[in-house]
Amino acid sequence: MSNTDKLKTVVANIFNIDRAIVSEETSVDSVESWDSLNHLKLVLALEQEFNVSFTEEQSVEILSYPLIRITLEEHGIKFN
Amino acid sequence: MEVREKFAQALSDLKVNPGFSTYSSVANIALKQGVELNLKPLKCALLRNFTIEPFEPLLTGELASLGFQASTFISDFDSTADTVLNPESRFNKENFNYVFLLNWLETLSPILSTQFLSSQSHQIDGEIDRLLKYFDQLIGEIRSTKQSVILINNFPIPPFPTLGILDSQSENYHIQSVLKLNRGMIEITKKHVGVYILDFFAIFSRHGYLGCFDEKHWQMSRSPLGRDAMVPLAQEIGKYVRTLEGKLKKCLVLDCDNTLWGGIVGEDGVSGIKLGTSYPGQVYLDFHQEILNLYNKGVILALCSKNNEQDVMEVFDSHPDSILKKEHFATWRVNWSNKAANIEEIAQDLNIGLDSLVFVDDSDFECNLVKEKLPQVEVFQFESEAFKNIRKFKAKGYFDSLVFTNEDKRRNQMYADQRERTKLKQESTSLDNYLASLEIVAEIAPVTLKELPRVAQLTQKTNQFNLTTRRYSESDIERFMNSESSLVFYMRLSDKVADLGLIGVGILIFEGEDAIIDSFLMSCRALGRGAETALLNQLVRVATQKACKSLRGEYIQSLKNEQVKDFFQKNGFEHILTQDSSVHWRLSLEAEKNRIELPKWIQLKELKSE
Repeated sequence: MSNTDKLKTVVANIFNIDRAIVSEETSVDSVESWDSLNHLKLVLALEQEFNVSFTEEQSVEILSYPLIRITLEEHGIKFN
Repeated sequence: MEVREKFAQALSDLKVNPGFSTYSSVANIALKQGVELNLKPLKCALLRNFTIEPFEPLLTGELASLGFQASTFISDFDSTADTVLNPESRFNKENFNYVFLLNWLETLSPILSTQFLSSQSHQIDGEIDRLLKYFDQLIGEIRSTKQSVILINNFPIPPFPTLGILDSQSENYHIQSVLKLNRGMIEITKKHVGVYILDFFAIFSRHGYLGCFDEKHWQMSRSPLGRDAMVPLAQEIGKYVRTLEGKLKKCLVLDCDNTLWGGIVGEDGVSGIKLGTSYPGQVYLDFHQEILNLYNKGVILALCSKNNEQDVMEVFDSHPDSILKKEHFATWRVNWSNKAANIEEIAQDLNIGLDSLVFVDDSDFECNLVKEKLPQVEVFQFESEAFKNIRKFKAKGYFDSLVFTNEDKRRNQMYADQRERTKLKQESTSLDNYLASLEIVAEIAPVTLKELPRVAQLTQKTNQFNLTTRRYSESDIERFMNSESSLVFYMRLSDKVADLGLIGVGILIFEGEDAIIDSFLMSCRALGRGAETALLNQLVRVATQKACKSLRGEYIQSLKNEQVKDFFQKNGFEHILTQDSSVHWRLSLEAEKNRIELPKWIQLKELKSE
């Protein structure tokens, strides 16, 4: 599974949305179930799936799909 | 994709890579389509003093993988006592199958955690007593209104005790005090029925405190469970649910070459295989020991191997390092036939269901074949780096159970005894002669606290000779025992060859002038002796003594209890009605002829009067 696939799967599973609709537009504003508890689940899930540890700042800032991707890239995860 | 396929795919992904994402995926499907998937509803209440929400999909997913659709109620943050004591709380207005009492020590007790050093030793002891009393009262309060299984966590030891290396030098310092609290909790859980420790101490020790505790999320959101703790905790809870909900594994079916020893006995010869006290044979010898431990716990062993039988038996008979011997195996299929067919025969031999088997093999082909043909069988595939297998196998806890009864200790001896009886039977001229020669003695009496664990275990485990397949926890059985309107009977059986132990249960409920057989079941190893008739005879006797006019019975069809479909009919009950998969029967107790005769070859031990 590519990292893009993996990321989309995590986002879809955590917010319980269809994987096909996860896109660059996916964010706290467009996903109804993106509340604070699900955000915590998202952070924990990303840290586990990609074996990274976000800084406190990153943990609260990754509020959209592009931001998550960029932050993961900062931790050395490659997306093509 | 079809729902079932989608679910099967998600389960298989979960098995390969258990984590947040795979668990969530299984949980989401189960929550949405649990009915279509035939998942059984299971209600859980989580009373907690820390952020447990991120764990919820793992819990739901784990339970879904065991066939349950879990719905969870999570208490308000750190409000366990209020939730339990307030009669108006949602917790008290609903019933739950499982109640989890989840506490994090830093929130529960600063004295035993962050402020340990500034506390006097009498304060420490006082604090331990206070916490134990709190748990005791909490559990007692919940138990007074609920039959739920209660799981309460104990505490990991502090990773950096306040006194540093000095802490290890006294039994009254930080680490030992937490351990003292944990020990006290065992006493508390023993005082109540159906309460078990969820062993955070063991999980954190096994996987490492620093990976199990998430400092960042603890500080940011009071969510202490780290990535190393989440999956093991879900799996641990799965082990409890598996044993409590009657989904126990009973038999380990083993391949031989490259599983019980390295190499191929047919080619390398008995002296050429790798099995012994030096590497790499030691790895296999360690696995022998693990299997032997399971055998001593009462797990039934069987062999399923493509080999010449005499080659394999020669290893067990004459290899100097093989601690597994022929007599440890209840049955075997060592031949060149299809393993799926062989495994089905093994299940028949042992009179147990396919879903109680765990099959271990190193071959992709055989493992996939069995998964494909017999999806009910749990398959554990050995990988080529043999040393990895034992730890992974142990982690599965396939045969974990919450009771270790005398019957478990002796089960395998019983299978050996059974082979002895088969010999006696072949020597006897008629069945009656044979049964008479066994000198069977039955003891049938109301259940006391002593028999309680085994009786609950039997209702959980018995599938085939089980008229209603109602699963009961220890607290359920205790409720029947304490009720005026019901009686629970157990039956123990022994014969000339051996004591079979407690093998039968009958539950009577009295309703007006009727006695109703709520449950009637027998362990499969006790069948074929007419003991079931002896138990029924006693139930009739009790119902008559209670001046009941009729005895009512019910047969609820399950996937496995076909063999008792005609049980009531055979014993002279008349059919009343059939409703879906449930058939109702009635025996009038007014007509003298309807008394069920005690089989003449069974001698009854006096029924203890109440």
